[in-house]
Parts: sequence; structure tokens; C-alpha cells
Amino acid sequence: MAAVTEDRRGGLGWVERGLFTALPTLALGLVVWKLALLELPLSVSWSWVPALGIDLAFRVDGLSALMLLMITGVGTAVFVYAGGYLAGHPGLRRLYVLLSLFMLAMIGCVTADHLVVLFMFWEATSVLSFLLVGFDHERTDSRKSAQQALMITGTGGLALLGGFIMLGQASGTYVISEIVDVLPSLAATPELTAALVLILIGAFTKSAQFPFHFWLPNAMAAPTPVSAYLHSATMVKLGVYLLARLDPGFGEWPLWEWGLKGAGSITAAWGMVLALRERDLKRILAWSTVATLGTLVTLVGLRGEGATVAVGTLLLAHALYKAPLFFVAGNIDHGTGTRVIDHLGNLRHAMPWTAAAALLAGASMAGMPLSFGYVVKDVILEAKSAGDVFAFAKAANTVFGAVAVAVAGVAAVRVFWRHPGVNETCEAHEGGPALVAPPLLLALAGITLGTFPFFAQELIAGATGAMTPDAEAVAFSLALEFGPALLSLLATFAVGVVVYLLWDPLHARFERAARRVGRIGMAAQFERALSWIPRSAAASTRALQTGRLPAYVALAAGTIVIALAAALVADWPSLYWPSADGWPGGGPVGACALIVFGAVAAVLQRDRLVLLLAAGLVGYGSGLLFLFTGAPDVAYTQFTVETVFVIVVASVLLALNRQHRAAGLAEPLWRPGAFMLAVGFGAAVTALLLVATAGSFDTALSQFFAERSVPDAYGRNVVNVILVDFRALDTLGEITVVLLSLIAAVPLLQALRPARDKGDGA
Amino acid sequence: MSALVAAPVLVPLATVVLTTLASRRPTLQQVVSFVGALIFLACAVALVASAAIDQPARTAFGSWVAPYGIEFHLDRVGAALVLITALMGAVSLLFLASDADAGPRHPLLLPLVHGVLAGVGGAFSTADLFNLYVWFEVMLICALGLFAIGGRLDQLDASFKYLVLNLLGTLLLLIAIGAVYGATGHLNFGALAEAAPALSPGLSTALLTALLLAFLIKAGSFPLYAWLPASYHTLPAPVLALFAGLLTKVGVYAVLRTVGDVFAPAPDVVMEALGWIAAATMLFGVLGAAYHWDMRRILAFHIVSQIGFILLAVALAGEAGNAATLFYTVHHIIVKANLFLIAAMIWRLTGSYDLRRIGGLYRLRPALGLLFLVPALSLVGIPPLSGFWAKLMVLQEALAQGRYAWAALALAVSVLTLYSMVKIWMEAFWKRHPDDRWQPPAATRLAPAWAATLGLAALTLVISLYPQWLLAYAQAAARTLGG
Repeated sequence: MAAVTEDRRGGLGWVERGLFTALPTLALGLVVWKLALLELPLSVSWSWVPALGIDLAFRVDGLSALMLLMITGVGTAVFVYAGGYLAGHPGLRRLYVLLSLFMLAMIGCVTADHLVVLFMFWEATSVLSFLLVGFDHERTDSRKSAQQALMITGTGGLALLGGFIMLGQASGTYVISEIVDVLPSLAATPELTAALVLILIGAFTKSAQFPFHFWLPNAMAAPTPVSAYLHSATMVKLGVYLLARLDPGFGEWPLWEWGLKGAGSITAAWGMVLALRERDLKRILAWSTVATLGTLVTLVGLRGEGATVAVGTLLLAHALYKAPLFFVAGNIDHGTGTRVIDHLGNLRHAMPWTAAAALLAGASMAGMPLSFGYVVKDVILEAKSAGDVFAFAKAANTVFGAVAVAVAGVAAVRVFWRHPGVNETCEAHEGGPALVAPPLLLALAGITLGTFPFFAQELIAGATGAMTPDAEAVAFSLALEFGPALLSLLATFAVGVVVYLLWDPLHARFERAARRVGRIGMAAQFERALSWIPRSAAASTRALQTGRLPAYVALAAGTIVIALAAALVADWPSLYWPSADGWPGGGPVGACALIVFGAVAAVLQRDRLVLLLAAGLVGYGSGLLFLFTGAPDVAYTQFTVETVFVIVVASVLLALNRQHRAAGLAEPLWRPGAFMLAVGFGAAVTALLLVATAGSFDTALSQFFAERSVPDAYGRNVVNVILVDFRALDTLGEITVVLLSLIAAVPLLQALRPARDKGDGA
Repeated sequence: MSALVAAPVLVPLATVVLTTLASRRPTLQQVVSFVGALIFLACAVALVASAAIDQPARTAFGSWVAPYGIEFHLDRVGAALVLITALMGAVSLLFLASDADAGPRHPLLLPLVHGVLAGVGGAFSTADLFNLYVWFEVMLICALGLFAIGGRLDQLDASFKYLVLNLLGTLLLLIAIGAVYGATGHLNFGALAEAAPALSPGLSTALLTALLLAFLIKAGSFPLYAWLPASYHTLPAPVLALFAGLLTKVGVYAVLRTVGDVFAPAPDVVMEALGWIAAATMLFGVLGAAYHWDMRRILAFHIVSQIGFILLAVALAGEAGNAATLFYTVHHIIVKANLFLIAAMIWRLTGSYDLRRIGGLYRLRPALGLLFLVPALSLVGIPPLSGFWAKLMVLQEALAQGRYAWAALALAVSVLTLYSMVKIWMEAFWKRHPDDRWQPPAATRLAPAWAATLGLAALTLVISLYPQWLLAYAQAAARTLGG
């Protein structure tokens, strides 16, 4: 049975599991040790790509320290849990490797002090998240969810890159700590505004903010340890982290403030409402994560140090209650084979330890007194009453608080204590210690911090100091208070309990309404956008790549004509044209007439043999032209080549004629498009040559050749000397072409024979 | 002057002759071919070494000094590209020894491959406009032979399309060179650079337009790229990788040499037009890739799209733009060739290039998946892989110049590139093989293929993690251009 993890270790032994688990544990120890010893902020920098001014710059301040603790602390729990959850799974090693890389990327992200370095780790988390969401890659929905997550965070990442570059260029540096210092003094140029918007898009996609919120619940196709780690505790908080990191710089911008508050509030309220739609425990938790992220973004947008204290505490609290709740959902899945809440109930008998962990974590999520969640609610209330909160944020917060209570109720109470009789899986059982210890310990940590909030005081103070420009302004103390906050909490709690009790009817009503929303919702829009890619690709490619050679030639020739004409027209006044009195005499004109006659005649012929002879006139005309322009030996060569060509091709055609294979050309004589194209091409090329030769010709080369031919090159025929001496390399090249064309012709001729015989040639 | 400067042409040409003579003895031919490739590689390394210390190899053939004779001049740009050419040649020949879609072994295959290398090497080395045309012709004729060598009907069809459309470019190039010679009286790059400022703005716009159109056909840019996706997928994999890496890049190099060096600074209207052409090339190339299911066609369209990025760097001009061009080109040649080679290995293992008919590779060969991710993510531009540095340079310069539309388009195209790389990954690696009875081939000879692709991936990783060396080289190269 699945529960007996020890029996199903599969490919990965205890030793290797232990070694992998040692990674985050060691990192956690290192972080705690260094934090205890060293004064923040720490910074270190190595030169990496000086050509682009990129240093491997890292800086650990209070905010980074908080993130680091979460990454390594929750990481340790996740690594332990993964060993139990996927014991015996052949992909466990791959999971561990990916998770380890992911942890490294996260650590890089929250410590990087250079925009490009931050972006590098940011993209790494996206790619690793793709690989982790698609862990069960043979399932279609896994692949689809992985693709969706990557396309959205990847698109956001590219927007972020654009924003980073513009931000760096506007502030003259890519070092984040310097940018934050410089930013408040910069004018709000359009470039900087664009950078801000792009960075917001990047952060919002990563942290699943409206309108990019929908990918996160779909990413629940990932195994539970991955969901707990990436999609609750760490990766999705990166957007919040980046916003908090840049907040001291951008904080005074109205666009920033309202963007954060607006998107955050909408996400908080909408995420909670959507949680009601779900029956899958994990997806319910995912939506509440989306809502929490919205609250965090709103808090970052709020002014005042109270808000930053709230950001720090909520970040920590959420990691301490949401990760255990995901573990609980995983345990339920593991122990019963389902996560659909309709099929679950009264599990406390079968899974007592999991139930205890769920209760502790749920208490924190609901904000019960003596849990860290309560401290958070207290701090948030203070922050909101201190800040100038607009009404919607308040309402959103109330919805968020109430539904959080309800969700906590569903996850911690309903499936373990209530809802009897529907439980279809009778073999529900508890998991091994690796499955039980991580949620219990994390949830206990949340309760401990709730009972003794001053434990977290220094950590939160450090984070707050990092997020507030003037650090001395922060004066607060985390303490257990039962002031007016309790009253407001009681109200929220009461509403939450009502929602919890009415969960099923609310769900039913909601499902009906939401079905209609589903069609116009963001997920549907995304699907539409994604299907737009292959459709527009098909349309444009079918139009451009028809497979018909005449169309290709027409497109290319047409482009040439239009481009040449445009170039000639573009600077028309500065062009010189040849003067009329410099026109050549009768001989060259006659030769040209012969060329034109041959070309036109060739076009009008349907019989291949006559066509060949007409085309031969073009060659003879060219030869005549050479003769009249003072190049008799070139002319003789041209005559010879043309004659040989006509004779050879004619004999081939005659041979084909005898075999009745030389049918006439079937194309119509008059094609207006082709006619215009031909005339246009001729006109454009003629015009080009006319303007090119209109000026006085620089005769330096021809004079040199004429003068040096006899004394230096020992040749009386200048053309010959040019060919074999002055420009001998060209001749070598052309000889090579002839040789190679013979080599090329051999396979071609060999190919033609079997191809003709075989017919289809495949 | 040293004899080394002629090596990019003479070594491959000598190998052409020797391999042709040895065409009846396959083993000997193969040995000669490898030795030739390695000598070429060694010479290229020496050329880069001397270019890097500001002693670029240059010579005027027959001692007819410029501007009268033909000059080879291997500055940093040319030398780097010759080195990458030699490298791609060696890698392709190595891959040819595997059984991953290497095509039928024709005795004239190796001579033609070296002929391509000679043409490409000559084009990167020459400092003479007409001589450049000659090397284009060498490439064209060898490419034609390589298209036809398999003898399948689709290959003949492809070679005909390739021939016709490229001949159009060649013809236009000849006309343009004639016009340039008529207007300036020169063909040597240095002499042209001196004569260019005297041209009237209208005339230099017209001449550059003609030249660039011809080069853009060769580079495979919008809307002149039809020949590329119409033909490339019919080639055997190692030749395809060579073509994909090198041929279009010669066109791009010629564009860079023209507007970024010889005729620099080019008229604004030309650069503006080039920028928009580049933007359209990026977009329509990637859309073509998103449309297809055949890996070779997908990757062929990505060549077009990436050519757009490189041309955008050219259009941005200046030191930053030119440095980005060189860096992007080198990165892209390695990555793109590697992707084609890996696709051929996928073909060998699954029996098809069609993503709809394959799958299950992750379970079968996880290492191949890892190997695929390196060039694929690099192509997308995921940091810190080499493609990221290339795109970063282009984006930085585009944004610094206020070219927001181009930058936005470049970012959007990156999303689509990600989409199609994810498509290959999900279909070929993650998905189950659609045929339940499918069995992987029992015996394969993939060791040379692994060596070739791992080598290229290692190179990509080196550039990724230590981009400084190549970046500094590219920046130094850009400083010597256009001056």
C-alpha cells in the first residue's frame, strides 16, 4: 500500500534521499548561522561580463534574509515530504534534482543585486517550474498546465526584461540597490513609465495577479511537494518580492501605487470568490494563495511603514500555514486517493496526525488568536487604518478575511471532523513520518510565533527596514495584543463561519454563475490567444509559402522592383541622368535592338526549339555589343559559347522530340501580371544602370591595367591579362565553379534517371 | 603577407580535389576529408589569433596591390566567421559518420561539402566585391549538387526552387556590382569605402538597395526567403546543419560588410528600411515555425526568424549594433546547427520528423532531452545561455536608440520562439509515443552524432557562462569596421 513508504523506496535509497534533503537543511543552517553572526546588509560582487557592465552582484538585506529563511526552511520541509510522498516513484531523483536547482535559482533571485542577474534566476525559476509542473509528463493535462504556466510567466519574463533594460538605461546603472536610491530623484519620463508598466506585468504574471491569475490553480497538476514549494511558499512570491524591492524607488509614483492597490485588491477578492467554485482541496488552497498574493501586492502598494510590517509578517505567516495545508491536501490524496471534498469526511480517525497539523495551520490561516495569522491580521488592520486605503481595498480585505476563514474551515475542519457518511474510500490511512512531520513542524512554528511574536520581531524589522527608505522611521513591536483588532476579527470570523457553513449551497449557486464567466474569463481569453498563434501562423504561412515556384519568383521579383523604384524615387533630385548627347552610335543601338527582339520573340514562342533560337539572339546581340564597345575577344568568346549552347540544347530537344517528350509550353501567352512585372523589372534595372553610369567614370583601374599589362605582366591582350593575372583569383573561382558543376551534375543526372523510373521517387 | 591568408579557400579546394580523386575508395576519402577539415580548422584558429592581436592577415594576390588586384583581408569579423565555418565543417563531417539521417553515401558528397566550405571561406575572406560574387557562385553550385544527391523527387523539386530563386539573387548581385563599378570605378572594399562619400545620396541609396536586395535573398529575409523553407527540409541532416548554420549567414555577413563597413554610414532611409525588413523577417519566420509540425520545417523557419534578429542588429548599426551582429551570428550558427543535428538523432530513435507521430523520448533518452534543452533554450534567449546575451545586446541597443516597436516585436517573437521550442519538447519528449507498439530501434550508430552535438552544446555553454571573451572580441571587431 502506498502509505507504507518504507516498503516502496523504489529507485532511491535512504542514503540518497538523505543527501538530497541535506541540501536545503545545510542551506537553512548556513542562513541562520550567518544571520546570527553578521550585520546586514551583506554584499558581494564578482566581475562577470565587463563588456556589458554585468557583475555577479549579490546583496542580502532584511527582506532577502526573510525570503532566504522561507526558501530554505520550507525547502527542508518540502524535501523531507517529497521523499515520503513520492517514495518508490521512479522520477523521485529527477524531482530532487529539479527541486535543488529550483532552490538555488530562488536563492539567486532574492539575493541578486543586479537586474540582469536577477532576471537570469527569475527565468530559471520559470523554466524549472515548467519542468516541475509537467512532472507527470505523460498526462495531457500536466503538459497543458506546464505549457500554460511557462507561456504566461515566460511572456511576463520578457516584458520584465524590456522593463529592466529601460530602467537600467534610465537610471544609468543596473545595480538594484543603486537604482532604488536614484529612482526617486528621476523625472517621470515616458521611458521610465514604460519600464514601470513592463515590470508590473512581469511581477504580476509571476505572482498570479489579475488578469494573469488563472495559471496558478492549473499548475496544481504538479505533485504536492512542488505545489507547496513553488506555488505557495516561494516562487509565486517572487513578484511580490520584486515589487517590495523596487517600492522604495517607485513608491511615490501614482501609477505604481494605484496599479498595485488596484490589481492586488481585485486579485484578493476575485481569488477568494473563485475558491468557492472548486471542489478539489488543492485548487481551493491555490485560489486562496492567489488571494493572499493579491493582499500582499496591495500591502506593498500602501504607503506607510505599517504596510511594510504587514508585508513582512504576511509573507512569513503564509509560508507557515499554506505549505502545511498543501501537505495536508497531499496526505489526504495519498491516504484516500482523492482530493475532492465531497468524497471526504471524518478523516480524523484514520489520519490523526494530519488532522492535528491541519487544525494548527488552519487556525493560523483563519487568524485565530495565539496563531501567527492573528498577528498578521492585527498588523494589517493597523496598516490599513493608518494608510489612506480606498474603499475597495477595504472591502476586498473583508472578503479575503472571511473566505480565508471558510477555506481554513474546509481544509482543517470539514474533511477531518464533519461531513460524515459520504466518505467513499474506506481504506483511508495515515502516511509515514516523512509525510506527517513536515506539516506538523511548520504549523507548530506558526503557532509558536503567534504565541511569542517577539521571536519574529528582529526578522520582520530587518525586512521592513529594507522596504522602507528611511529605516529609522520604523518603530513597531510585534506583540500579542487583544485590542480593537479582536473585535473586527470577530466580525470577519463570524462572516467566515457563515460562508463555511453555506459552502455547498454557495458553491452550487456560484457554479451556475461562473460557468457563464468561464467563457469570457481570463483563462478562456488565454486559450483563445494561444490558439491564435497556430491560426495566424497558418494564415500567414499559407499565404507566403504556397509551394508554387512562380508565386515565389513573382514575390521576389516584385519586391525587387518596388524596392529599387522606391530607392530611386526616394532621393530623386540628387540623381544625375546621362545627357542625351552622349548616346552611342548605330552599332551598339542595333545590338541592343537585336537583344530586345530576341527576348520578346522568346516570350512569344510556344515551341521549345524556336524559343531556344530566339533566346540565342539575345546572346548574339550581347556579343555584338561587346564587339562595338571595344572588346573583340570577349565578343568572340560570347559567340562561341552561345553557338555551342544552342547546338547542345537543340540536339537534346530534338532527341526528346523523337521520343515525343518535348511538348510545347502550355501557359497562356498573355498574362498581365507577368507582363507588368517584366516591364517593371526591366525599367528598374535600366534606371539603376543609367544613374550609376551617368557620372564620369573613374578610370584608375582600366588605366592601370592598360599601362602595366605589357611591362609588368608581359601580356599584350589586356583582357587576357586581367583574367589570368590581375584578377586571376576570380578565374580560379570560376574554374572551380565549372569543375564543381560537373561534380554536382553527376548526382543530378544519376538522380533524374531512377526518379523518372520510380515515378513517385519516395 | 603569409600563405595562411589564402587557407580559407585553398585548403577546402585542395580537399575537394583530393576527395574527388579518392572517390572510389570510401575509407581513404573519409580520412582525406577529415584531415582537410582539421587543417582548415587549424588555419582558421591561426587566422583568428592574428586578427585578435590587431595583425589581420591580408594579401593581394599576384602582388597586384589594392585597389588593382584582388585582396583577401581577414579582420576580426572575417576571421571569426572563417573559424566557425571550419568548425561547422568538422562537426558536420563527424556527424556524417553516424546513421542519424546521414543520407545515402554518394562518392561525390564529400567533395561537394568541401566545395561549400571553400565558397563560404572565400566569401568571408575576400575584400573584393566581384570576388565575393564568385564565391557566392561556388556555394550555389555545390549546394545544388548536394540537394540533388539524394535523388528523391522532393529533393529535385527543392533543388529547382533553390536554383531559380537563388539565381535571381545572383543575377541581381551581378547587376548591382556592375552598377557599383560603373559609379565608382572600383571593386576593392577599401577603394569603395574611399569612393563612397563622393556618391550623391540618391545614387548611393539606389546602389545599396540593389546590393542589399541581392544579399537579402541569399540571407533569407522577408519577403525573399521562400526558397529556404521550400528546400532545406529535403537535405540529409549533416548537410542541412551545415547549410542552416552557414549559407544564410554569408548573406547576412555581406549585408553587414556593405552597410556596416564599406558604405558606412549608409543612408538613413536604407537602414530604416532594413530595420523594418528585419522586424518582418523575425515575425513571419517564427509564425511559419509555429505553423509546422515537421521538426526540420520548424527549425528552417526559425533560421528565417533568427536572421531577422541578426539583421535588426545590423540595422541598429554603430559599434553596439555591429558587435551584436557578430556575437549573434556566431551564437546562432552553433545553436541552429546543433538543433538540426539533434532533430536528426530524434528521427533515428523515433523514426519520424513529424511531431504528431513521435513521442516518448524523455523516458527513452533523458540525456537527449537535456542536450536538446541547451540549444533550444539558448535559441529562445533564456539566460544565461548564449542566445540571451545576443538578444540582450540587440534589445539594449534598440531601446537605447528609441526603437520601441522593434524591441517590442523582438520580445513578442521570443515568446513565439519559446512556444515552438516548448512544442517540440512536449511532443517529442514528454508525450507518450502515439503508437503503443512502437519499439525504439535496436541497433544505432549514434556515437559520432553524440560527440558532434555534445561538442556544440559544450561550446554553447562556454559562450554562455564566459560570454566576456566573445563579447570583447565582437566589440573590438565592431570598432575596426566602418573606419
